[in-house]
Amino acid sequence: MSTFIDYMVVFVNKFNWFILYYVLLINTVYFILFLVSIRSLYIDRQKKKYWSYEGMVASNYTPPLSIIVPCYNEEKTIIDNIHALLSLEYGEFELVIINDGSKDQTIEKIINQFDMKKLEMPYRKKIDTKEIKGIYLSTRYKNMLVVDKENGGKADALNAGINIAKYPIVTAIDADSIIERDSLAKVIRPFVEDPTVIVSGGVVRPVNDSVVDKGFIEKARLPKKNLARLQTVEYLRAFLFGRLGWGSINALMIISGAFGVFRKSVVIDAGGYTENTIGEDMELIVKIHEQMRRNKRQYKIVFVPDPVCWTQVPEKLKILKSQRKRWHKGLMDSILNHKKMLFNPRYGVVGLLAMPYYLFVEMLGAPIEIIGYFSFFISFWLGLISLEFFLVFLSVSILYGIFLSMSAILLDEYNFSKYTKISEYFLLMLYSVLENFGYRQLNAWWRFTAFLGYRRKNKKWGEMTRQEFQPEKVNVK
Amino acid sequence: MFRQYVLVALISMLIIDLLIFSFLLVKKIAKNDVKRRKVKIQNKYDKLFLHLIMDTDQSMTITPKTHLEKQVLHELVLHYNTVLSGDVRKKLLDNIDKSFISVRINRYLRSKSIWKNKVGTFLIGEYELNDLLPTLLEQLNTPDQELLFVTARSIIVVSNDQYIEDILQVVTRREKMTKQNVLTLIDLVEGDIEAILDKAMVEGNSFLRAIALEELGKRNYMKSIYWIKCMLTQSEKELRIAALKASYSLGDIGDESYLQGLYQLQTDPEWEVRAFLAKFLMKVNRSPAIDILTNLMSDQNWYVRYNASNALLAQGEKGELALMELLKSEDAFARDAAHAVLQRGILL
Repeated sequence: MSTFIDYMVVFVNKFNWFILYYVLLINTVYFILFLVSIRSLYIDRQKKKYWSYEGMVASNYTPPLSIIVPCYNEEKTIIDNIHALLSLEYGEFELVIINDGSKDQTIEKIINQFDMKKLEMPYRKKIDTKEIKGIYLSTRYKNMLVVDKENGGKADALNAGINIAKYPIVTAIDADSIIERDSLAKVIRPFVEDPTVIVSGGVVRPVNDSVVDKGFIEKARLPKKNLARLQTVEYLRAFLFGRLGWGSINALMIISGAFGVFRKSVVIDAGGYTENTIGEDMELIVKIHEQMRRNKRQYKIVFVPDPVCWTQVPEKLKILKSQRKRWHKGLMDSILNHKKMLFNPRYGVVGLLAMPYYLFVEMLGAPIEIIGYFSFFISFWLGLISLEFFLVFLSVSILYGIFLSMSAILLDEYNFSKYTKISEYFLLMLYSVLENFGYRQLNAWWRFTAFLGYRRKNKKWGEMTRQEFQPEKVNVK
Repeated sequence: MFRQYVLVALISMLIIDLLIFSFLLVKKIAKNDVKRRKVKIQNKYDKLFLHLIMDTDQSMTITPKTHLEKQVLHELVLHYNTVLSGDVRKKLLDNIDKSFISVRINRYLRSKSIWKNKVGTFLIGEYELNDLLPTLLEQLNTPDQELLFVTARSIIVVSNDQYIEDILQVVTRREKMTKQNVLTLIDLVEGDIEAILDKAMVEGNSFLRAIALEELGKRNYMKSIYWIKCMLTQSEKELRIAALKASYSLGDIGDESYLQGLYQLQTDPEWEVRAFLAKFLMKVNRSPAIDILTNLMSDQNWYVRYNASNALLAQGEKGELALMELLKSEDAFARDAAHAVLQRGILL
């Protein structure tokens, strides 16, 4: 028995040192990303002072683009969203709505509202998809068409959209998301500036409880529910640190499926969105990196912090849990599908930095964190560490997490200031403290269980309850 | 020892967090206050601007006094510049005391930060500061492509076509700028630049010639017909495409020999050229054009067939008849495309 305990003491001791170095390494990486992000935000702030968006929108030479909107059971919000997309501030675009075999009245509502007529239109099937039942053309809007297809998942719907899209640049926007009027012009800017840009993406923010009228944000408000507020802090941190930081060294591994712009030929060359994965957005970006680096082609995948896409985030624990588990499985799919890129100098900064980061920090972070908690308790039980040390170490970690979240909020306020009220920023900072007590651990637990229960080849639309957007209620006296 | 390090880290993090927390709140409070004051100043200036724009005899100078007034005036000028043009814009800028912005621009131009240099350069154009033109001309030699674009843009805004030749030479040398960006710059030039574009066609490299030809066509200059004919036989496909783009801008000018030259491109080995030919033929309502488009409906390239089907629909009755004939075609794509295009024509 004593030999077993001796072995255990040695093991736990070594594991504790591993945890210590792991925490130090992660926090160093975060700090570097923080510094890189500050620089990128500074550049973006300056660029806004000398780049005329109005001029770009008015120019005949701004590239036309196809907006692909995959939808599945979106009857509550789809009409408002289509109206909003049709009135985006952009020169020339077409709207391609893909109904992926919705079980509700999505397709009927669109057909009635926009006077859609069925058209037998030939198209190039460059990417294989499920059967298309019909293509409808709006008799009211020349630049709008709807594709009704058999259910095949989000990736399949997006691929169908890419097959139908007529312009060389395509953007994929979630049907439940809201794009700001000038977001398209902002996200397309890198394509105009630099011909080597092949993908660009913008920031996604939670829209819950904001005032939305006719598919546009009238007033951005902080969500009222705790869970949504915690996610708001999380989104700010993820986009303003992670994505901006990785984007500035051309090692961005994910462009949110809710809002990304792609050069169509590159997506087709990469084989389109992968169907048998949950994280089709990340998988596509990793495939593009892999292909471009393998073929030694010059390219850039960029992240623009200003164009904003607003999306509904889960307000119920059950749905959030399912979303986070799906995200983690999607992440694992991509890492495992492209494991040959890991530490491979052939893939440059992606293979040597980004992939290892996603493996050790994003994929293995949750299991290490959960095992770390257990290890601390065992260490405490074995008398290896004192309660005082445990608490102090935990406090430093938490305070560092709060520092990162608060810095993200500060950067957001300094550069974008989306929320007008002081109380909203006060609450955001409060929630950046609160998230460390329960929410963060819960998230880690969900990701840990996703890690343990990981199985390959699973494709489904995520479960998400949608709420109809409401314009602000005005009291009439 | 280790315990002490951790304690120091704990206290440091706590202080940093508290500082960020307080700073953010104070900043937000101050920002909201400034915003309120700015709105008041903005309303005042808005009225003054409207007076200036509407009243033809008005002559006054708007001179901001406080730092906030300067900031608001600056923001308003930039905003009005996006909606005003020509004489109205000039009138507005002439009546603003620009000394406050000159100081700022000079500071930006002297800065070691390339981003600030770009902002300063952009503002020279927005405020039409002629006295800084020599600085801009010197800056045309910059290796930074973005700074080059902003510099060229400001030079054109300030001096219109005076330095366009120099700009075209610089930006097309070693293809420093994308074609779209060069065309965007030329778009800013007002007035007649036929002679400049003609000279570019004679002396320029292929890149510049393609750009100049497209612009000649877009501006409907007579010289474009001559150059289109010349470029149709060039070995570089970019020049043949530029000729077709220029032709598309001109449309059917009724010159048979000119059209005959363009028709020859139906057998061009490059599919992009044939695709642009199909697009151009949309504007030529003649029997040979319909015959060529009918042939192009069976082209091996999808884009050519796609453009040809749309062009036939745009031909009116004759095109529709050709499309109906194609409904009986043995080529499955030609049949389906004809069907879809006809259906679309009926729907819309």
